[in-house]
Amino acid sequence: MSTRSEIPFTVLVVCTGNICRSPQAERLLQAEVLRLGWAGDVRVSSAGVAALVGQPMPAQAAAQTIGYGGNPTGHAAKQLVEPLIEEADLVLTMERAHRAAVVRMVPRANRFAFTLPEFARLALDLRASGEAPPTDAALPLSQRLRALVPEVAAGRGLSLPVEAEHDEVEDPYGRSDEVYARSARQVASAVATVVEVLSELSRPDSRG
Amino acid sequence: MELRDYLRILRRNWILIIVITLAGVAGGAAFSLLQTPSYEATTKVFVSATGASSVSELNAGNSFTQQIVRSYAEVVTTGLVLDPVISELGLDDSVKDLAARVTATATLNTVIVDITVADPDPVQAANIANTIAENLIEAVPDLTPPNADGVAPVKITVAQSALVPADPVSPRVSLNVALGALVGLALAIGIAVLRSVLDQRIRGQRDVELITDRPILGAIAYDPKAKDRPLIVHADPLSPRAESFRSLRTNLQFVDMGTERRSFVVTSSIESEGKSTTTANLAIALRDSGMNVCVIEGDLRRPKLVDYLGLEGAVGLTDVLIGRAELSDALQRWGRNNLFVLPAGQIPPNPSELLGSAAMAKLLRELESQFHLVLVDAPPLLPVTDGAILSRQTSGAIVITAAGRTQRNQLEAALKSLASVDAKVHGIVLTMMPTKGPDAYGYGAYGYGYGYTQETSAKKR
Repeated sequence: MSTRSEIPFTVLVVCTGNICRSPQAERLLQAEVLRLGWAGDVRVSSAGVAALVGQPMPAQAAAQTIGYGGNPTGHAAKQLVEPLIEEADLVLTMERAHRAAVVRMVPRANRFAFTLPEFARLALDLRASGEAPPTDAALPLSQRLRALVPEVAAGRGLSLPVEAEHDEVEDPYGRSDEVYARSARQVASAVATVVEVLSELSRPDSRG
Repeated sequence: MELRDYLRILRRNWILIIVITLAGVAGGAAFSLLQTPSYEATTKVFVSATGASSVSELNAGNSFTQQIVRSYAEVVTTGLVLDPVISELGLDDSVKDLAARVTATATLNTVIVDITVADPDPVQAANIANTIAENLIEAVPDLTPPNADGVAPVKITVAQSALVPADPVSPRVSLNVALGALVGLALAIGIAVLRSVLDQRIRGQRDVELITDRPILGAIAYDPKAKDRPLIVHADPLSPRAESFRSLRTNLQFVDMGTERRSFVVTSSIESEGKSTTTANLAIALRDSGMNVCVIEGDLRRPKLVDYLGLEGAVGLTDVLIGRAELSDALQRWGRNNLFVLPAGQIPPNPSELLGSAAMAKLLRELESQFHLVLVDAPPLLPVTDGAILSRQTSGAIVITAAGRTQRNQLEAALKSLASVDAKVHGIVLTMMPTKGPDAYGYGAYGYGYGYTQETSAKKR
């Protein structure tokens, strides 16, 4: 794959309809990217395996997004297609079934497709293990982040989630406000973890 | 069965044996407690014939006396003697009842009669015995009237009065308890032997040796927490369980895979014997020794391996076989070293056909050329043919056998199914082995070169 420095590190978030969970994660990630000043180096988008194409976020999902500091405006759901996966460096899904769907479309994605909570868990494991290689300060941020994905992937299977469901984000669509809140909390905490660990491990002065 | 088999049975059932033996002891003791105690008092009387003057008469007198003695012994238990005793002591018994409790014996070649009385009351027993002796003496003149000289030909004297007995003669507690213990022990051993004869489950090495002459390549320690941490070799490398995977790895070096093939199948007789866990841990142990290892999920019906390894198994073997995915894409690296995993991929309707296909053979040859060793996790042999088919496609099979779970005839049938397709059996691996007890596999038979703390003690069966 091309690793030209000007190509930003591309994150694709995937859920079922691309109106609740994945746009929430996308917008929260984008907010973090802006906060960290990574705007030119990281690109975030989202899609759904069975997208309600063109639809915006439902009110509850939008409200939750705002509550966690994301901007829900201007979202339009889009269908997951192969090119989106092929150009992604990291695919974060909400359920294991989505991860399987992504890998079925592009088999190579088994190296960089995770569920969002799984990736957060593995990122924490990587940080705790201290096995992350030192970052090369000469490389641009996008490449440093790209190099971290296989490092995180190497931790798969070394620790198991307490419950398999812990690696998934609940689907709030058509459910109560309470479920929307719970689901959004899962998304937000996983996003926070992922950003925190990736920014820490990709810092040029960090030594593994 | 040999002596050592019996010894193993005894070791295996020691709890049962102790419990039943103790129950026998308790039974003997209870039996003793429930019985009314019985005391025996004995009085000895001396019977003499008088008036003998010469040796021959003395002899005659003696033999006459001995006959007399025997007769008197008989008389003791008759109404002649007992009636006055009953009235004298005010007993409730009839003559017949009392006679049943009285024994009078004439000791052979002597002139002594022992009169023994049994009674629940020790004092009463002595009383009755002494009263009987008195009445017997009083009855003499009636039975052998004195001769003309007025000398009684027979004289009875009390040689020894009955004393009040201190201990009851029955129940004999120690004897009853000993008998109870003996009966209990015999019963327990019988049950234990019967149980193991009827129990067809394979317990350990010895049972496998009775079925097949194929080597036992390893024995994996039982770990009650195996479900929570299947990848023990990684999670807790110093545990006895992890050690048993490493010794399995060592034993594999002696397996002859032939010159061509560097692949083998891990299968079992029935399901849930620990195939996938064994495959995963063995692969990690092999990788830790610096080999390039590839693991294929060959169970296209219920793939479990990728779940243990935490990988996404949506694309894998089946997709490669039908050309829908590239092998290089479908292979996933596990961890940081050279361990690669090929998941099952999409579940096909015809697993056996796919696994037996030429494409599968070609794929295996290709992987063998890339890796030091290729392991295939296969479905169990008894329900489906996939395992046997895969064994033909590779160098042969390693048959996992769960101790205490698999039945002897199941393992026999599994091995037969492999033999019927001319597949090689490299050996047997016992899983879920107890780390202690009669069937434990030589743990501690060779000390480890390093200290380890045994965190998980095997659960006692």
